Amino acid sequence: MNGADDDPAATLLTTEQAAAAARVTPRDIQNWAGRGLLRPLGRDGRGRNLFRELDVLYAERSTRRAPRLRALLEQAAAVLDAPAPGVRPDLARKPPQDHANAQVD
Amino acid sequence: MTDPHHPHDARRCVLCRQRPAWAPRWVCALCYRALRADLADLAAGYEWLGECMSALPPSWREHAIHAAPLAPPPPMALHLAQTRSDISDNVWYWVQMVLDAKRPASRPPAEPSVPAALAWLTARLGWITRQPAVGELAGDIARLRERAERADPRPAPRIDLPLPCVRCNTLGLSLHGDRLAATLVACRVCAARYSVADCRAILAAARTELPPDGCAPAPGPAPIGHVGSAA
Repeated sequence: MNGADDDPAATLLTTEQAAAAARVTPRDIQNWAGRGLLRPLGRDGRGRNLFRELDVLYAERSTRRAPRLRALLEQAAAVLDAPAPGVRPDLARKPPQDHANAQVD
Repeated sequence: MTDPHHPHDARRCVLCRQRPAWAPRWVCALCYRALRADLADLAAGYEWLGECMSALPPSWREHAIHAAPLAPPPPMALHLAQTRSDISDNVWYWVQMVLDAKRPASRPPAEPSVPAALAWLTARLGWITRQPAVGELAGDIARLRERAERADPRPAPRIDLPLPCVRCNTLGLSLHGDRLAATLVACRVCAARYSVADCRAILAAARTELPPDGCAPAPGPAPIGHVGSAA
């Protein structure tokens, strides 16, 4: 589940990918890079900046304010309410019951 | 804070070692729920591995053309069979432990199957969590669940969850839209794990801590309530 592809310290992202990961615009990523919050680790074959995903997530954290947090929470609510793709209904886990009903003996 | 009439209140949860135990148990309410969820996940994982175990690769369909005659592969995935066998051994070990220790004695599981044994353990979770050895059982169950998850031959699609992690406050959370881990949310930055129920609680707490829309923005990163179980 947590393979190398999932490791944000080992994942390099273009500006557009970094923007998607941080849920901001590419202009925000460029802005962070200009302010020194984010440092590109190199360039890809097309000359585009590459950022480490972990750095992007830390930059997002340090610049997050209430309006963005509010938008993130709305997006998170939408994700949590959507059914996960690939879930087999016959094997999907039933939600845990209340504590009051949880024990038989 | 400790009520002298309830000495159990002073206990720490033996699993997270942070929150007070849910008296008279040895675990807190969140870890109780996590253990219950692990038991359910393990049963689903065991059944799924059984379905995957006998599937032959597509190259061994009858009409497939082979460059050279090859010996057919074994008709089952041996590593999945080994994983299932280990799960079975461990689960039945714990069933036997409960049968030996519990008074009044319980009847054994109705069926000699691992899902039935796990359901039997789940039904006795109230008694189990009142025993000091619950930490060992919970550790075994979590380890087996993770092993079943790792053995799952299908790649797990990742769904990013734009909710700040309680532990590291980054957007590293992702929900694995896999059958086994359909309700598992993990942080890729700090490896904290949550159930979807935890995430909903975190979301609700974060919403209540936000200033009303239209107010001046907070001077620093908005704090997130520490509600979830960062295991």
